[in-house]
Amino acid sequence: MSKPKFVYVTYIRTTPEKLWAALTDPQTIKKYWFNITAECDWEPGSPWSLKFADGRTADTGEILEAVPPRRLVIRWRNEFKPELKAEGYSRCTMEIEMADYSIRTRAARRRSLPSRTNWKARARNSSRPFPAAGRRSCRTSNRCSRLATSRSRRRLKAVVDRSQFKPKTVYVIYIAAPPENVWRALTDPEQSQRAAVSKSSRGSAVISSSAFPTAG
Amino acid sequence: MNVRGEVVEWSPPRRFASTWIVDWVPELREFPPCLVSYDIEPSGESVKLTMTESYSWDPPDALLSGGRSGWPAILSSLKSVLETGKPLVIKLEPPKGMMELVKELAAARPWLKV
Repeated sequence: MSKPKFVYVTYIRTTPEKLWAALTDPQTIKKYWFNITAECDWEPGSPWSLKFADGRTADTGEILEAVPPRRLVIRWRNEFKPELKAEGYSRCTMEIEMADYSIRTRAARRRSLPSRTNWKARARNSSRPFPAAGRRSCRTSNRCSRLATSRSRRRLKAVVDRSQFKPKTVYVIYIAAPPENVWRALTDPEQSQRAAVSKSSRGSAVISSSAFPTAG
Repeated sequence: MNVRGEVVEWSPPRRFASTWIVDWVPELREFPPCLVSYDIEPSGESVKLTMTESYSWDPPDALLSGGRSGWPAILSSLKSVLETGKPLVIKLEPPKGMMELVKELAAARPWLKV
């Protein structure tokens, strides 16, 4: 079997049974899959298809394995873009595992998918010069800590050449929250304590797994 | 486990990047820092958060598997906190064989080879 080309893992606070239902129930699928409808009886060997709200076929295939509530394998081909249809069938595996009180589902697709991340553009972006020292607006409006940051950034200019860094792992997640809240959660020590990433003042980041939530 | 680093980009509320120097075992202090950046883009009524872990050398997949198992848990928990106010409860452990691999790499220092 060939190596997966794309793996996405997410953790969801639910039960395997509810997650299985969400992956296979047409009404639920429609809610989260942007009005896409799934047509399938979810038995191994059965035909499977996805349809747009206007009735056009999006994707077709076949159920290869269905082991509720643990594992679903779909043979999958795009139908609405000729260049993607020409790529032929891929295999999409969804695995549901318990992770303490949460469970995760993992979709692994074996096919060379069109690149969703423009790596070259990303590398170019990441080699942009640093913002001018002192431009940083810091939550701690303490003059001393701002100055300390400016100094460390000047020093870093000499040390970190970002064009030398190539992306190796990219993870994308959509969150229903304003950008400011996401920013605060990532950078505010009190909030990020809950989401496992904490940052100290003076421009240095501290990430500690001991800050990872352990209580519900 | 502890991670240190320095902020390389601070553009609220759009982009935050910092180096990571992991030092939960002494051997890891030999490793070059990696760069972790967060991009926050509005997308409809939601926000698209992209985490990018970058390296100045070519680390083996086995080493990257640590981040690849940890990030989904951390960022899923972040999503849950922001959307529901409640973090997820997930037990995190380094992948099997990670310590041995770290020791091998610290001895071989592949990042010094061009």
